[in-house]
Amino acid sequence: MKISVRYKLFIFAFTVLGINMALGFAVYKSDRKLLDSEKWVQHSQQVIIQSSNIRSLAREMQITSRDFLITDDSVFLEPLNHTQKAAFSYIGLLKQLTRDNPTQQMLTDSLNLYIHKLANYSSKTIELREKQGLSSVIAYTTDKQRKHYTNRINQISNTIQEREDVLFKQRKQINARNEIAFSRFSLAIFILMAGFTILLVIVAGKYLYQTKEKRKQAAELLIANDELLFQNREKGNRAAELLIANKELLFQNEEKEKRAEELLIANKELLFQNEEKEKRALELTKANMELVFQNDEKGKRAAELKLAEIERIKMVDELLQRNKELEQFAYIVSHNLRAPVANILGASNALNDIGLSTKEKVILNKGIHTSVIKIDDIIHDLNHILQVKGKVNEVKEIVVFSGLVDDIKASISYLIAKDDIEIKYDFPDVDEYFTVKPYLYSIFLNLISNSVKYRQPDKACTIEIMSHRLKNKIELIFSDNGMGIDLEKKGGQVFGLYKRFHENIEGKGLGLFMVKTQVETLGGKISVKSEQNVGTEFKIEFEI
Amino acid sequence: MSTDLKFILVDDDSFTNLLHDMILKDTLGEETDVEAFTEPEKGLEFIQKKYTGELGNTILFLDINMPQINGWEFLEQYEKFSEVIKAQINIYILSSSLDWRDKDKAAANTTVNGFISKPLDFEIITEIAGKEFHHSVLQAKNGGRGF
Repeated sequence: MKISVRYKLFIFAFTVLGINMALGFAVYKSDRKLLDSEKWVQHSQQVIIQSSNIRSLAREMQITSRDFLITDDSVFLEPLNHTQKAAFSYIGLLKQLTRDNPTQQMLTDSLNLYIHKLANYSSKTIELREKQGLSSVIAYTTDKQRKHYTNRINQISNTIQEREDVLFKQRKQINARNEIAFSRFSLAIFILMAGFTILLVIVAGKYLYQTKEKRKQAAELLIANDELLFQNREKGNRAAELLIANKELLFQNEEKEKRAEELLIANKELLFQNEEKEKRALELTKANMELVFQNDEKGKRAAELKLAEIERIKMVDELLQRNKELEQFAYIVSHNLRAPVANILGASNALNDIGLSTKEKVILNKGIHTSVIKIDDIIHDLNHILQVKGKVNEVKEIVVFSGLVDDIKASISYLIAKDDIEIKYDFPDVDEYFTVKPYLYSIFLNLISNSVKYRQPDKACTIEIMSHRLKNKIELIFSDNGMGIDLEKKGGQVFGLYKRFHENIEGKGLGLFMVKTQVETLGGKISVKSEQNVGTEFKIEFEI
Repeated sequence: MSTDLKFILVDDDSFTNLLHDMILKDTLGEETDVEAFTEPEKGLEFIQKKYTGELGNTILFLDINMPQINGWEFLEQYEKFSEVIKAQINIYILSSSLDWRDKDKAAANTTVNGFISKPLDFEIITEIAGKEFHHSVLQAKNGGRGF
């Protein structure tokens, strides 16, 4: 069906093409015919023109020959010849033109004859003119031959013209008719061709459109078909899968049931284990608490140990210091004991000398005695010092500072009275301290008597005692306007045993040593500031 | 008998000075020139005053343990004296100390000629005098008294 339509279309197209070709050929033919008729019209025109040309040439010939004849000037011969030649050539042309028309051919022949005759006549007259002169020519021409020829030529050419004119008119009429017919015919042919062509185009377009649509539909159908096929296949697959899945589900369900049973059992097991774990957790919590407690205890113990360690280091330091002090003490004691011993040794050696005078012996004996007393003193001092150092745990009581100073003032009233000595005290912050009274008394007494002892000889002696309460300690300050000590030189020895700084004043160098020992025994500290010839200030600090 | 040898004693204990003066004179003769000072400053003053010219060889016995100025401080001051003075005086530490530290300290001091433990006696005096005067002193000693 598809193929036949296409064939039909082809056939139709070829038919239209053939018709169009035939019509085109018809137009061509008709055009040729029209061209022919036009040619014939032109032909007639040519004939008319040529004939008129010949006529005018004949006249020209007549005129030029006559001119020569009159003038005998050879100048006129040249155009005459020329005209004659032209006339003959035109005659030839006319003959050719009229060869299709026997009548006109005949007339042309006759025209030719008369032209020849005219030419011959002209030649004869020219000859005569040249040889015999004008008169002879005139004589010769009296017959009017030339006139006759010319008239004949005019007649004939007119006839030709007339005849041809009739033909021309006829031909022109035919040509006009032909032209109208041709234009009508070609218009019709054109319309026909156009109609056929349009029809062909419409038919072909329709066919093409239909074909396209069909193809599209076919393609769509093909795709849809494929889709359906695919879907079908998919459905088949899915069905198979569903079957398998179904089986799987069935199997899984069975498994799940089994598993559920197992889980029930496992759950029970877990419950039991959980209970156990809770019990264990409780036990662990208890144990943990115990550990935390133990850790705390350990931390405390560590802190205590640290403190103990610090305490121990402190104690070691203290012990080392004490040891050093004791060494120094021993050194000083031995040194001080050795001095009187050396004296006794020396003196007793000397006493053995026979040659000594009585006076010398007395001196030596006195010296020995003094030295022995010195040794005794030192032993007493030692006893005293050791007593203080040993009695750390004396009974403590509240001691009022002002009362203490008043007591001392009373005990040394003879000294105060003898010299110009003033003892002032001021205890506004703190006037009492819980301590070992005899020691504090000894400290106060030693410091006051020191100030008295080392006062400036030419100055009134003023002693001031004050107390201050600081953050966590009591501060006692003893100041005087005495001789002072050169601390730059003797700073390290102020509190040393048997250290003395003033040559002419009686003293053993024991007082300040005892003060320091007692202050330290009571847990305090003592320091000194002094300037020579200005005064001395002792500062004692006791912790509260 | 008399020698050119002179003695200076510096000790804060007057009995010690008296004793040593007696022992020196007993060993070297009554005429022996002995100057004793209980205050070191006075000793220094004396030296500065007297030893400007040619006074002769002198032995100075110096105690260490003294108030105000001790033996070492005395030496510090003495070292500042002129070479003329120092050429004439030979210093010996004369101390009651038996401590080795004092002996070491004395040995380390170039101004100190020696360390002697108290008391002075015949042997020590003759030894020191012998060091300073060799035979002349030893010969002179023969005429003196012994202990």
